[in-house]
Amino acid sequence: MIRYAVLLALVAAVRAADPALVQIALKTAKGEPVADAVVSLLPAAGAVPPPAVEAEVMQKDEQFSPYVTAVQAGGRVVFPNRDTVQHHVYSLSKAKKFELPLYAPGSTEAITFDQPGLVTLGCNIHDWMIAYIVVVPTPWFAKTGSDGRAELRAPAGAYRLEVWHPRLAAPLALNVVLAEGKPMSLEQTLTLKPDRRARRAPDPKGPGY
Amino acid sequence: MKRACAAAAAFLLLAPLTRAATPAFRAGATLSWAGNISRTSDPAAERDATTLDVTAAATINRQITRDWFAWAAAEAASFTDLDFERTNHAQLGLRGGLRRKFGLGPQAPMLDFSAGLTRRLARYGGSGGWVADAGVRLSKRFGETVRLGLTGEWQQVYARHSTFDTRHTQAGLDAAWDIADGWHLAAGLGRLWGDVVANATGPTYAQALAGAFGPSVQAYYSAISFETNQLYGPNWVSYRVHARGDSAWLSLSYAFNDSTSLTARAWSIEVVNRVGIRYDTEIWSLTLAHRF
Repeated sequence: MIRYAVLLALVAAVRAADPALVQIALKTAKGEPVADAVVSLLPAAGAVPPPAVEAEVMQKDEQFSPYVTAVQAGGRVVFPNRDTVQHHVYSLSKAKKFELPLYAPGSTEAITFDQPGLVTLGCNIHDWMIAYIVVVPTPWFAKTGSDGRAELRAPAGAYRLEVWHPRLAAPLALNVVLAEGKPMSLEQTLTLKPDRRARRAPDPKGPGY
Repeated sequence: MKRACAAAAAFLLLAPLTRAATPAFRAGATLSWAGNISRTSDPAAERDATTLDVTAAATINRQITRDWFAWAAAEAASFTDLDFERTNHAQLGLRGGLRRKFGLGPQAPMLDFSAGLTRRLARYGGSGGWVADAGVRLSKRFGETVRLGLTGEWQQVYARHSTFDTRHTQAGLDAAWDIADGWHLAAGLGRLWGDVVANATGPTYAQALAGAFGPSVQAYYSAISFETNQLYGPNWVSYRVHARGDSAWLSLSYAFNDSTSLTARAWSIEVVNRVGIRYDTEIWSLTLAHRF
């Protein structure tokens, strides 16, 4: 009898700690899945736990990888140069201004991102290199995969669900209430702007005489 | 002496870069149709041709300071004229440059200096020799899709025969527009001052020397360097004139991916020599470029 009581208490404790689940699917007006969108849940009230994970944005084949990274404010991001050439990583964004000039192959430096906001990364040598770090004031965030889907788990409660994407035409935010044991499924259609990035493909030399 | 100085300058520029990272390789092939490739003033004698240019280059780069960037390249090229094979030639060269970027980001203005020394190996030996060139370019991107550039170039050819010893200066303005994903439109205008090698049939040149085109042409053509070399047919003459050229070009390219692009280009140049003789040329080309 006591064993059953202990078991029931444990199950109840686990259930109480069980986060609520939000499944979100993002697509364009043409029905194509939207990858690399950051979805975050900002609690309507209460404190959030401190950041626990470190993210990585590497330079490889003269590109940043991944293209979009999400971190919690206060989190660190390491920038390993796994290329065979130098880079000059920089950000001019208000949320975090920094520069890593003369950044030789094999270098690895870490930057802490204290302020929530969008950080656009570039390389001052290779103008086509661009990547984004979305610094969110919450530990509950996820990035959509190639299928346009993401899952978030957060304690039950009221949240503001925000969606960000590099080509999103207008900010998207929803108020949601998460309840234990009731997974929430959302499907949103996004309007995306054209992809405008500096050209990387080789240009043949112009005509000469 | 000039060659030794140029070689020493190239060595000094390139030597520090050899410690830099792995070279990047690129190659390209251009198929062109050239109207009046012979650069002939007589429309009835103009020679058109189909040509093939193949280029390959290995480049190394190095950021020297926060704002200065250096590069060096070894280049090889071949030019094949499918109609007039005596103009075929190959080139091997070294090129180096310095870039100053005024600020951070794609929209920061850039100032580029470059210099090159090229060995030209020609089917017709008289046109072979060394080519030294130097250039300066100021460019800036406006917004996310438009780039404007101003270019100044100087070129000196030290050829085996004096007719092909040319020196000229060029200035140009160009604009490029990333129209849509993968599509890129570019256009440019340029002006050239200096020496140009033109060609004429033997009888035409003989008439010029005899005064059939007036005393100023006769006096000028008698004073300049010329030679009979059959570049464009029996008894054709090449001659070096001092001229001014105005050029305009337009290109449309499509990038298949980050490494490969195909470019269609139209180019026109109107050259007028010191005594008012014109040589108009137009070229239509298709270039496949690839970065490895």
